[in-house]
Amino acid sequence: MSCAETVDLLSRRRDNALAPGQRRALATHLADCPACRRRAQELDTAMTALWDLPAAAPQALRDGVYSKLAAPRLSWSLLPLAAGLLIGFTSAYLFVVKQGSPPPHSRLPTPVSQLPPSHPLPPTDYTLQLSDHARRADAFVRQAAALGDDGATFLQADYSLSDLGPRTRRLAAAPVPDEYSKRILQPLGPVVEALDRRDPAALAAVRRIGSDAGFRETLASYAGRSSEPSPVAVPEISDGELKDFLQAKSLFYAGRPGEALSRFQDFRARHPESPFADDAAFWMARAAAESGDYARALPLYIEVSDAIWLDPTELERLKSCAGALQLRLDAGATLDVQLPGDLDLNEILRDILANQVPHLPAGTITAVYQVVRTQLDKATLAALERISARYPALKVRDCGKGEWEITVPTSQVPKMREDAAVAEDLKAAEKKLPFLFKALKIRPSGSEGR
Amino acid sequence: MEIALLTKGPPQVAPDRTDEDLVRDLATGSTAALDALMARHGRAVATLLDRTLHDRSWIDDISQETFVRVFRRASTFRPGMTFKPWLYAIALNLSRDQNRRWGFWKRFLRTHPIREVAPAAPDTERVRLVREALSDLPEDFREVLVLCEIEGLSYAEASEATGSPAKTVSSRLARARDRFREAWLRRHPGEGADELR
Repeated sequence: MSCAETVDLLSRRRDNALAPGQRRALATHLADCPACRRRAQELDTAMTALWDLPAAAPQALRDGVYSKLAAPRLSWSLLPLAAGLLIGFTSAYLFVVKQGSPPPHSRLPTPVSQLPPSHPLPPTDYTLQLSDHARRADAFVRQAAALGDDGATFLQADYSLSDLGPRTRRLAAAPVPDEYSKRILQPLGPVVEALDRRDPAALAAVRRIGSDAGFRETLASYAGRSSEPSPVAVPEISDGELKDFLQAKSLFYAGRPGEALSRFQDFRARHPESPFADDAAFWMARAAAESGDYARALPLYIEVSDAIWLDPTELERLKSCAGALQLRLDAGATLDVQLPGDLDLNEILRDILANQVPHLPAGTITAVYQVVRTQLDKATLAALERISARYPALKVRDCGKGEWEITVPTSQVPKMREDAAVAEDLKAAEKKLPFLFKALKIRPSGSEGR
Repeated sequence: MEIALLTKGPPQVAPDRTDEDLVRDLATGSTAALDALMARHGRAVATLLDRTLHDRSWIDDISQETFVRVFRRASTFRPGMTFKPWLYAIALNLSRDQNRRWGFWKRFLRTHPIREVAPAAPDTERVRLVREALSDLPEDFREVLVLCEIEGLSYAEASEATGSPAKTVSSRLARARDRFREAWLRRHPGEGADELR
């Protein structure tokens, strides 16, 4: 292989687009050629520099777009839109005339505290969760102020990647979005927007967040009410620490989970006491799962499941990891997995789910491996029991109060499907409990939604 | 951003609507869909333009124009197409047009200072050098570098966005990375890569 060829291969390596043969050829060449090794290092350095360019935030995008749409080319098809805009502008004008200078958000959503508790969700947990996000945002804001331009850059980069954290966003996309967005995201939205604008009132308000009560108080105060600031301990974060964390995260979002994983690992080694240590572990788990390294992802997930609330998407991912590992074990593979205690994935999963799943209303679990607790009608129960008689590894246990625990032996399901004696029952059970066997389709690494 | 989207008042779209669903809604004149697309991709478009426009003071204007065209051209979005490359293709075309006019504008603004062209926030020295190094690259190199390295598009998607074949994108990207490496080293000769791994 010639040195000229490495230019192309080094580029493809950054995109994870090397064929195995090319990867080997490149590695061999790099081992022998100091000049190309240097070129590879320089390329990484240059790309890191490129990543340092701050993200841009468009100003007045929405207003600009609508005034452009409404202004020049008014056609019949656009009339309803134009009429809507006209009404919008008119009411805004009236508001200004009547109220004097309007608050930054003249149509603030109802504060959390005034929303009716219309759904049996435990809102406190979400509130605490968001309070946690907001606390991190506060840390970012403070850091940004200390770092000047660089800080603003990081702040912007983090928001543009994740708003107030990717978990918040995933929660919004989870099967509880209505209640969740009504109660949490809508009230928080103006704060986030104002933070994006570097609004001093919002910055001050976010600084007051420290607890559930503090969070509500902050939202209320931002809605124009007075409230006494309450002191809050914000973790100190060093410049390098924040930078390391965000760069590792950027790599993950750039679709390079392998590199992100090692960066987060470096981060934890370098900053063991960091307030982001748990987050780093979470991102390592996420990156390992994304890379298909389930043996590594699972213990990490287990490690963080105590410290960090895992949303439904993440639980699903965790279960995929466990399921994939279990399948390999069932197939006789030996896995080098460092798990606490015995390698009983079901037991471990049960523990984690017991801690995490009470947050979820019934029906939000769309893909479950191994152990499912659910209500069963007589016909489905009978069908499952018939399967169980032939495949004793499939267990159905009465948990009382109309609930049953079904343990599905993942590795036997393909066989069951082909077994004429139980195929009908399987189909019947699946009709009632479509999620029961669904997750058995293990998605290959990289195909999970980001 | 999605959180902002949820605060825009009554017209909202379900969070599970894909970009492709939304652009189909646009064809029926749905402003909620337009809001959602702007919330999801406004920053990405502005960031792309930030890297490709010669004159960054046009970022806001071209970002707006991009979404105006998205709205107006929604009916040309065919089933099976992916939204992101389509969006980036619109933004890149506008950026190229603007860059072509740039020479004219530069001369015009020298004699007719009609608008503020100063950037909102001054760049740090490092950011300034990165921008300089990037501006050393030809426009088509800059485009693939930003699309693939920063925006994370696949070769196929970048091919859709730039209108060049995927194979060309891949080889152009390799040369762009190498050119940027050289340009960066010229400005930052002291920065070794020893700290990396």
